Amino acid sequence: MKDILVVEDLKTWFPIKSGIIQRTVGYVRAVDGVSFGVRRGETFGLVGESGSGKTTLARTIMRLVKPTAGKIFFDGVDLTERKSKPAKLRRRMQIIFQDPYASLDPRQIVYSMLKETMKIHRIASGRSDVHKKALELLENVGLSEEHLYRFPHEFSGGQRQRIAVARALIVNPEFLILDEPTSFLDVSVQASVLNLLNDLQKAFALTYLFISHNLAVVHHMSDRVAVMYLGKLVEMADRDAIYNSPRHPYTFYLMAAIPVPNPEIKKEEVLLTGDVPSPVNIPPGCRFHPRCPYATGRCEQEEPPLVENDGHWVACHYDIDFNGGVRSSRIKRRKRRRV
Amino acid sequence: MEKSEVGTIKSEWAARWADLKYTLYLLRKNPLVMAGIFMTLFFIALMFLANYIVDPRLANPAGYPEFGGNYPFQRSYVWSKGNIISWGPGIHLYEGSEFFPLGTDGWGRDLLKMIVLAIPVDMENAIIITLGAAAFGTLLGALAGYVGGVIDEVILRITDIFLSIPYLILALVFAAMFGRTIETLRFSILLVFWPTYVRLMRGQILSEKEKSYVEALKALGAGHARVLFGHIIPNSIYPVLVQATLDFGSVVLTFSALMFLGFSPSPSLPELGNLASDGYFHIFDAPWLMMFSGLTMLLIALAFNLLGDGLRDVLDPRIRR
Amino acid sequence: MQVKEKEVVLEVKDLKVFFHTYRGKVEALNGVELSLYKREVLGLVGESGCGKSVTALTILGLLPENAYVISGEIFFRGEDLLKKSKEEMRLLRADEIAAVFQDPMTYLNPVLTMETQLKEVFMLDTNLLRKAVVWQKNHGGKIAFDDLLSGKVKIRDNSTNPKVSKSEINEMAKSLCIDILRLVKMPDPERILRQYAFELSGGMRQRAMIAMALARRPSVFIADEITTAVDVTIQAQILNLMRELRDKIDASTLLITHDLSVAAENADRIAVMYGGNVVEVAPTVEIFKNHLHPYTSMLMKAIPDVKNPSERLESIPGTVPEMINPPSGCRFHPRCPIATDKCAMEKPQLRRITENHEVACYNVAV
Repeated sequence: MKDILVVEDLKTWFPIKSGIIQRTVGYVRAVDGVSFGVRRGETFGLVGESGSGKTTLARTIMRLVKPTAGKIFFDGVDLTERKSKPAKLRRRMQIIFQDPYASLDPRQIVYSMLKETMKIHRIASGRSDVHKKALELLENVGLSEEHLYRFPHEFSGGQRQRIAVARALIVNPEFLILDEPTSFLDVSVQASVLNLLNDLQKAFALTYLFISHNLAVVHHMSDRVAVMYLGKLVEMADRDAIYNSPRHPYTFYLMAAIPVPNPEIKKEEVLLTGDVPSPVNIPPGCRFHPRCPYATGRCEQEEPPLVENDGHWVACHYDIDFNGGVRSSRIKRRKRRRV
Repeated sequence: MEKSEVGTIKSEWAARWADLKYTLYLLRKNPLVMAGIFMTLFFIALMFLANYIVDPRLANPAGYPEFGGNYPFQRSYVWSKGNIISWGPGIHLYEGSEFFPLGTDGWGRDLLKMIVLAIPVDMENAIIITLGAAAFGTLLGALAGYVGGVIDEVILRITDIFLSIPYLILALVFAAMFGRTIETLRFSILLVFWPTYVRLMRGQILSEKEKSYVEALKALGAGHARVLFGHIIPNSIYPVLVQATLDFGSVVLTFSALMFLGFSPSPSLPELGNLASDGYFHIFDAPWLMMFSGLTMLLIALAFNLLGDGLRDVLDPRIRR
Repeated sequence: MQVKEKEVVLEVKDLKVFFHTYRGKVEALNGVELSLYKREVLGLVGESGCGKSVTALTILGLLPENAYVISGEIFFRGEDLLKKSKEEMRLLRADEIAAVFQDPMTYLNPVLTMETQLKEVFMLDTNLLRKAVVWQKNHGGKIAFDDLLSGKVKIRDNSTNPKVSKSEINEMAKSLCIDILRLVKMPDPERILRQYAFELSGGMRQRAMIAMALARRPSVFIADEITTAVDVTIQAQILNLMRELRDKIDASTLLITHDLSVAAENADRIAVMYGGNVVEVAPTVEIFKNHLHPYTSMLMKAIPDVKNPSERLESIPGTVPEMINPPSGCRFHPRCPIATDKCAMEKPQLRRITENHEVACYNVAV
């Protein structure tokens, strides 16, 4: 199979309980029907703001959270079946978290962290073996021996992320989910971490699922990009297609909101009004319609499916020309392709 | 101040030692805490050395000649300004040339020596009971917090039942049920103190459980046992430590209360509560008895309290780092 | 955006601030030099640890207990702020120098309604409210905050001061609150007033904070990373709001951010900070076209630019210096590709290269 990861109509709902007997009165529909595939060796970028469900999606794929419905296939194996042992697959799939200040146990020195992971997966035993492998890992991420015996709080954010990456690499994964890995880092540090990630990808033939709200960073890293809004994908295409010719209004406004480090480019006043909504109250019909200036009555009632057109997937009833504001209904509608 | 020791740390132990030095530095800054630490160390030292400083046979009234024993000890005199107290038929105590710095008790034993002998008893009680209650309560609390569900509910309800009864009454009930030896008394008090730790640990576990590093460990493939015992519990233990130091004092006082109320294993046992309860009936005639034993109890509780305060200030993760 | 008047509102001269910590003395600010002109937006850009927030706190007089101002002056309206007492600084913060910080949730009181909190700001000056009520009574119609802002309405001191009741003052404060919420484009201000902080979204809270800061018509407005904690579409809204308010309010803005792109779009001039110093100051367009300081240049190259993608981002070798044992001389010299021996010995001062471009570097060709 060409795709290393396939997600099919994945749903992760969290029940809202209330009352003395804790009845379920509703659901937080964090991930509400997401389907996509990640090709081996690529970097798949996932973009969204808070409330979009991207972090929950990452956690669900890693099986840290149980999916409510849908399927996840890793290299053809269905992860959602109870029979499959997630432990074995854990070795092939790893995750790097967002907050470098919280994702390392504050009471463990780096050496212990690495040793523990090795112990869990029975890689390397004996003091000198472990030591050697630990040094090797640190060198891969640009750190050195003197860092081995220090506590997390003695490191900067960027260094902690490198440690997290080193730890994740112990098990020789093929697939790495990066959940906002550089959001907490300074610009120059971010640059070096991103460079490191690219180098590692080439050296170890890794596949990345890169999640971020920082569109510039996603643009730099990704081959293909998908945009998430309120638990669903609204657009998915090659990177340049999405950034240069977005087809969904939300994508368009997202692109317009990115601050550009060039003061001579005049910003048009293209602003999205309203607040980022919460997945507790999902609007009927198209989820984006309350904020969409192009919305019609149809948008309020009918939820548009994610439809493919030349490798470019969009979930919108209309073809919108963002310069002129012209809307035209889609002429042909292809059935959503199953990957 | 010294420069940060970058690059000179070559092993795991060196790293932990550097961390400890930081803790000690923080502790040094607060004079009250230092006082607490010294007092605690003093009492702990006494705990081990008391039996060498004072001959423990002095505690047994049956050894005195007046009671038919044959310890070659001096007889007793009361330290006061000419008070004569009669403690019972046939025994008279009166002022004499011997000097007892803190006076004597009802059997004519030197109060100071008795207090010295009593401190180990109380300290042992405090440590054994507190550590036992803490260990037991912590484990249950960890289980409740981590596993959740029915187990959590059951443990919580049992804890609630214990907590709903005023602690002294609870202690009395248990003491009456289990008897009057030192061991059973210790057990009774332990049963009174463990529920607090359940609550404490459970709360900590519930919040630690949600943290990123736990998720990261699970993603790496760590099993529940490893995560709970290797990571979550060590990170949650600090409030328990603080509570334990505070409880030391409470345990001493509770034990003494039981002595007071008549649950003493033997009337001549050198134990602070015992001594105090003897003095209770003579508080106007011979106030020294109750005063000094009570004062000692106060000092022990204070020592541990200050230590606990200091620990809490020092281990608060917001102040560290 | 042209800055017509070159009148200096706030001037920071050679500011040195240290912190005493367990590990030693942290030399947070090492001689910061800044000038803020009337009605301009000055972007203060730098990475974490460079001292930009410390600078803001020093200006506001809100440094923590273990901070010591070693030397320097901060001139505002001809007076040195560092010589003022705590009470004087407090009055200044209420009236003239306002600030909004990064995380609005921690700066809003969770147990008070928005109305109480916003009104509190106005109630700091009951005299003004009283005069406003009197004016309103005399002239009829309603006084709007806009009018107060633009100074169109001159509140003259009436010698015959008729009695103004407490409830009237309250009413006036409330109506001014509603006005100011409208000014920051909050939908449905009456309802917002009744709500609590946790009921508002991040973007709305930030607007509320901006409203509270502007309520007293300050001359200096310090925005410390106000968009870092919000989503990108909300960030765009807030920055747009700031741009629109610029024309209305007469304040100079110190926009502190780590994001050069945000500064590019919103600031007239940019000051780049590193290791407790300002290393380059220039108008925005100039600094992007012609960045002189090596740190600024490397920073520019480290930012991924959607319009100008590159295969590899330039990162700056080494790490941000530990301020406990900072490098001697120029603090950037260990990481600088063009450093010379002189750089390690003596810290370069800000030199004027052209009329409005200053750099702190020995090795910059004019």
